[in-house]
Amino acid sequence: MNIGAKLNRIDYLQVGLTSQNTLKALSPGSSDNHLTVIAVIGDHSGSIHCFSLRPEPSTLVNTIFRTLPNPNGKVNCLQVARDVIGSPKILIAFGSSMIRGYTGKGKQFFGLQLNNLTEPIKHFQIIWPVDVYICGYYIYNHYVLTPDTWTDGKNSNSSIQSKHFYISPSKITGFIVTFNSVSKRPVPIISCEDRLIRILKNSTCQYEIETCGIPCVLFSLERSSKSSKVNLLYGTIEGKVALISLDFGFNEVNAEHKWQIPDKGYRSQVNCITMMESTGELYIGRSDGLIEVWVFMETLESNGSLLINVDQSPTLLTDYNCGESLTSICICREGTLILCCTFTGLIFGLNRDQMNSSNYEQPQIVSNRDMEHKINSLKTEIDQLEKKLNRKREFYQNLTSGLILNKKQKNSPSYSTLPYFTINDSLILHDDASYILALESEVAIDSVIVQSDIPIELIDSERNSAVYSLNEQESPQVLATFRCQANTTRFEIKMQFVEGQAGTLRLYILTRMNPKSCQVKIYYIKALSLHKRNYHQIDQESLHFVNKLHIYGSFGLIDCLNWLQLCLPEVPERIDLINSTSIEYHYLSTLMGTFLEINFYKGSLIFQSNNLSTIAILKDAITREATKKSISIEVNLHINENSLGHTIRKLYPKLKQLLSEKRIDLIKEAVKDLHVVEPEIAESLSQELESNSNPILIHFNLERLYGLITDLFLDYFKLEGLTSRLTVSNVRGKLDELIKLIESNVNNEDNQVDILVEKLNEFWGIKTMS
Amino acid sequence: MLKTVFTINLNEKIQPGQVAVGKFDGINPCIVAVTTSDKVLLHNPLRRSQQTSERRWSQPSAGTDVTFLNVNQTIRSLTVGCLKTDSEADVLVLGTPISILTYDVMNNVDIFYREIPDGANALVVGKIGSIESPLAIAGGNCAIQGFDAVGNDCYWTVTGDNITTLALWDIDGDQQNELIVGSEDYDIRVFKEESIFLEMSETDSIKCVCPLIGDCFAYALVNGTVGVYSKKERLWRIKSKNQAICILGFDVNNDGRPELITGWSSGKIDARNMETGEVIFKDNLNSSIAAIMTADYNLDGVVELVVISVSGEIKGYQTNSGTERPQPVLDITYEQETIRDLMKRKQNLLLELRNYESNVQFSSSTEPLIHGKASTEDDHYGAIPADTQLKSALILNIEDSKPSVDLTLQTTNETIIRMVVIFAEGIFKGESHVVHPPESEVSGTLNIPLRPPKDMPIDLHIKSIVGYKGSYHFHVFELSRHLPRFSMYALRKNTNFPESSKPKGWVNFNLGEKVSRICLWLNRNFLLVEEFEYLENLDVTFISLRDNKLLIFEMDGKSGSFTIRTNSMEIAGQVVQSLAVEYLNLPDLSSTVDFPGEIENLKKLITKVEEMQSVRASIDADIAENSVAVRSLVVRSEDARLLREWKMVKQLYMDLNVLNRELIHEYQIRSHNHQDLVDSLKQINVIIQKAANLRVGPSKTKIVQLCRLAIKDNNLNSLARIICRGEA
Repeated sequence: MNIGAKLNRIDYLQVGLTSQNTLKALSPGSSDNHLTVIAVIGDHSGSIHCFSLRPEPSTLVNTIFRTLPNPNGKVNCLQVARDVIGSPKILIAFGSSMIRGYTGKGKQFFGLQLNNLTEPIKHFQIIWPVDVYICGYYIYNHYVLTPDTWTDGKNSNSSIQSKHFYISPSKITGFIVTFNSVSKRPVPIISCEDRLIRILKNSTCQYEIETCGIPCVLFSLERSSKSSKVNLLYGTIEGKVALISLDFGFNEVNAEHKWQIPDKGYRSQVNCITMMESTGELYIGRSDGLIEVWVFMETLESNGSLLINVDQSPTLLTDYNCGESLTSICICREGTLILCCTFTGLIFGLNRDQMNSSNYEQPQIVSNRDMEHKINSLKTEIDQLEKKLNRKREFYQNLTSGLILNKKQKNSPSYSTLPYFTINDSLILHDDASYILALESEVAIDSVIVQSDIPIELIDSERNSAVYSLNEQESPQVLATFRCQANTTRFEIKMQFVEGQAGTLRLYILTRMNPKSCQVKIYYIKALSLHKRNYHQIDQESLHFVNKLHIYGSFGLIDCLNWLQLCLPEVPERIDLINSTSIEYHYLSTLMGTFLEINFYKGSLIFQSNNLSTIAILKDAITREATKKSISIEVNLHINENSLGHTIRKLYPKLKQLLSEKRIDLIKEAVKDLHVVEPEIAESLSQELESNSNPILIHFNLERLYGLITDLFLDYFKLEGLTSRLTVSNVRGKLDELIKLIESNVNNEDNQVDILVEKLNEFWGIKTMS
Repeated sequence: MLKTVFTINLNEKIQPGQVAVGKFDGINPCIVAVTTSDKVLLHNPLRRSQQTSERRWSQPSAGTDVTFLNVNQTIRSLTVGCLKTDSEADVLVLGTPISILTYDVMNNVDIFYREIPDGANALVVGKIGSIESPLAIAGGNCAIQGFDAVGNDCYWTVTGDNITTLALWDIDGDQQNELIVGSEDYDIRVFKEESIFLEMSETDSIKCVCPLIGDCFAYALVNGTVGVYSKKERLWRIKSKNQAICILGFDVNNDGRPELITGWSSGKIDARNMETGEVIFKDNLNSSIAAIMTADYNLDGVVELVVISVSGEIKGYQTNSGTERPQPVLDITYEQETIRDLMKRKQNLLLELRNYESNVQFSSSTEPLIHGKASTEDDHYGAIPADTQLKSALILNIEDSKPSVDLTLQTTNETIIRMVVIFAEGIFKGESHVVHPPESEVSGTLNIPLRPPKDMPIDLHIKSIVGYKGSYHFHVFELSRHLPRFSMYALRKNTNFPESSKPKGWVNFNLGEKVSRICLWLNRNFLLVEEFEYLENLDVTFISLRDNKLLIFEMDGKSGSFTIRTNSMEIAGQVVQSLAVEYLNLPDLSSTVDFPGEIENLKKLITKVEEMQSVRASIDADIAENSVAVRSLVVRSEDARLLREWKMVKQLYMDLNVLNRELIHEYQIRSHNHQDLVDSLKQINVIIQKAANLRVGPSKTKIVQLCRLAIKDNNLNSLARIICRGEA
């Protein structure tokens, strides 16, 4: 493939809102136009549209069949399977419990109503001809069909049998079925919100794999025939894509993380992944509208054939931003056409730049005529719609101004109702301990108003075109307006929270469309909002500095779970009460790098952390909640004074880096002004400065770190009951002094961190036992 | 449209806005720019006819067609222009905080150097009004000064605040240029020679102004607004979160009318239709734009649009000539974009239609559950009674400890107002203000106190979010209210105020109008509970909500004599301008004035300036002395080093260090002194401006000129007399 090929966009169709992976190719076509591209899409209105693309260079679309909208039939997932003779079958989950099958011609040949489901179908897969796998929010089900179902045409529940089921401890975000070539059986795999991928076997979880983020998309590569390995790709909401190689045995699985991309930097959530295995190209669609094409290295085998090496991380070939979040990507015409579908239902193709092809000029005219035709028909449609709309607008105007009364309801007042518009929203914690809030609406956004009970810091990003203005006021409440430019459907804002303060964050989204309406999105900010779930081993050193909080009393598992849900993110909504007597969670602070271990069973709740502030926040929050519910609890606290120094050691590298950066920036400014005459000296000077500054992966704010250190010591005094020694106002006054102390004690010497810890202890008047 | 014809990279950091292109030999254009280290960079693209001597232009190691000039002063502004009537060659004009310098680049000589204590924040070269020769006009702290080719001071006037930008253009079509001035007090003023011809109030500091065609000119504000005025009428404006760095009129599409080219801080440039603001061309550079100019920079006979970024990237654009057929590849993407736009539009229409249709569907259904209830997160609708209305009122609240103008909003039924956003400029810190009462205090009524900081008319655009308590879906009610200019003054009925609180300052003039007409003005410009009816004589007292000071209007119905009593000359000036210029459209108004407080203040300031000037002279002498000593010490220490007298070297360097510290100390005193001086001069200018504002038309111009003369002649007593009586 030509490196850095430019992608050209061709717009094909507009359907209703779509869910992830609901655009599938029935026939991917061929690059020489010999075969036609046929694809099918299902949208939120419940309509299915099967269409074919005319051969290039025409950009027109032929409809093969199209079903009528179905009021409660939102299409959540769609699968294309092939029967024994290879003709395609379209399988679709409508609404919460209906599965239907269509042939490629649009004839319904199969219907299945699953009435006994407790959760709507979120993911499903059918392994032809009898296995049906279904996932809801938490529950996985495996059904087996009796063969005559397919020919029956009408659904009958007697022909379906439940075989296995599994309740996931955390919300299911993705589902896929692969095949174990050793034991010759299908392997269902689910990805969960608690940063784990679970491999299921029958009704149990056989294996758990920790992921590099919260996984949301799974994609498995085709098996190479000779190997027992399965390569599984997953995408996370933090924007990473990673590959796990699964090596199946008869009873065990070996998983190995091969790579993750991108290495650094912030990317938007991954929405869909597809791979073109013959050319070794990986396609990633993201929620900010970016389509990325990555390419794998090729290795030469001993027999002279080229093999695509997926064990090495791929490199970025090219990308294209379409401006709205992607829901599906299909590879057509052997990789020369990428068919994409967005959240709002826009289907477009991206093809490679083919400027040099010889027969370019002639068909150009044809396509121009096509386009003219398309433009004209669109224009007439718009005219008609506008006329119709004007009548409706008038009617509404009269209705609201009381000129006409609703005939059917003479005795009751008429109502003005606003239908809701779909908003995709996410609030995601990133590596730099800040949250990114992203919104995407199906209609243009006029303005977004952010309101928060607790102090938060809003950081406007360059990607936003919205005009930002913050309210001026005294109360802790934060109020900000973002006035969006015309045709904005996406909105993104970075925010930073302070741990220890829990509250509500409200977003009011005002639309541009008439009649003007507004929707509210509410988020609860947890007291320990900067913690994330963790599964790997805590280093031995940290274990020496454990602070322990033991709460016991007359409470059950559910009480514990409720309290944890109020304090921590990523706590499951429910737990399996029957099988679990004692539950353990591990957390890691994204800001401090300290750990938190939670262990609870009936009547007892234990927290262990090497960060005293974490313990103090938990103690406050849980005592408050317990009092609220009038559950009597007893608190047993064990404080390790040395943990203060330990936490500062954890922070020290960040502190050092930030301070040295600050210093280097100042020097750079000065050096720039020295007009150095000799180029060599100038060169070496600038090199010297560059080498001193390490590449920064994550940006923190110095003030934030100073705040953390202050809070750490304050929490210590509070927990030790030494509040009389320092009042809060007193401490704020000493903050400048503290900053001076830290800044003067951070430099490159080896044992500097120990000196800093000593000085800090001295500053706060703490005596530690060594 | 535009196509790129050349790109050059200078690899030098350029200060935004401090760039100009000039023909210093009268033929070939060169770019001059100020670098971040306050040097002047000259880019001579073809290195022709270089006559540079080695004295001041130094060749840097990189880029042989770039030369530098060291000025050793902070450069505030830079421009080029032709000052001589008999020559084609441009000269370089530099403005510093204390001086203006014109420089002949070709011959490498200064033409003139003048100290101007007000500084030169903005510069422009050209003819103004009826003055024969072109002038270099410098705008500083409230004062504008013009110099001719030999440095004679030919033009002087004052304006309201620090001047940020200047432009010359014949707006009224009388073949004479007017001066467009943008300043930090949010005002754009157009001067016809010394008098103000037009005055427009904007919503933030003016960043730049540029003439377009006929009576149109464009402006850009610090807050990211860009707009176009046709005389006093604003054609359009847009606001972006980025800042516009520079604007220029250039005909992009060969239609004979210039488009407005804007260079943004984000590195974007766009061309907009000057009448509608519609974007017709855009491009991106890698860093913030520093300047946009026009010149035939590659000498091919066609004038290019030249864009330069702060990192020194220069890009030249040319318009495609009309006969050339558009390239097919461009065309296909263009058609694709049309299709995309149309599909988008269709989708939007369908969605809106769906809204109305489902509205009918819901109101005709007899489902009881939607009526009068809050919607939950999963509901697909939010409903309120169709006859819900939102009432609004503006009430002066003087009882409160912090008086304010209260905006009260109320719904007509059981629905509540969850939140209100007010978009208004010049009243809040940002462009909007959100009122979000706590969940427990939400009700159908909402009271919002407003305190406009300046006396200007404000349009409030209010969006109220109305629905049921705890609902997830709300209706948006949009309404606009107008706050009159003097909304922060409340009428007091009882006039029995103690003598001490009566204002001492006053302005008196004869309007020659009937009292009833003035009543109409009062009704329009103040928030009144009941409007004024016909009166024989006028005697009304207002109290300011800001500081509880009184503002009294008296008018004799027979003679038409009008008196404003207030202690603030500024408020009086604003009342005069609003009444006489905006309302009555008077061409000329002279008045007699007395503001004892302000006059006293002025006298103090003038004495202060004199003192500071003498102090400054003595410091200058000290610094000169010390720098001579430094020079000798440096030479001696170098000698000692060559002789390897290490002890002596050390001693000398220590002496040098002491001296250096002393110099720095002296410098600090001096710069402090200078700052004080600039501040005082600014205040004097402001007082003159305020005094001028108490008059209209020629009388106003006369005040400025007389004051200028008085300051020049150091005639303090006459200054007070001029301000009070309007004559020397």
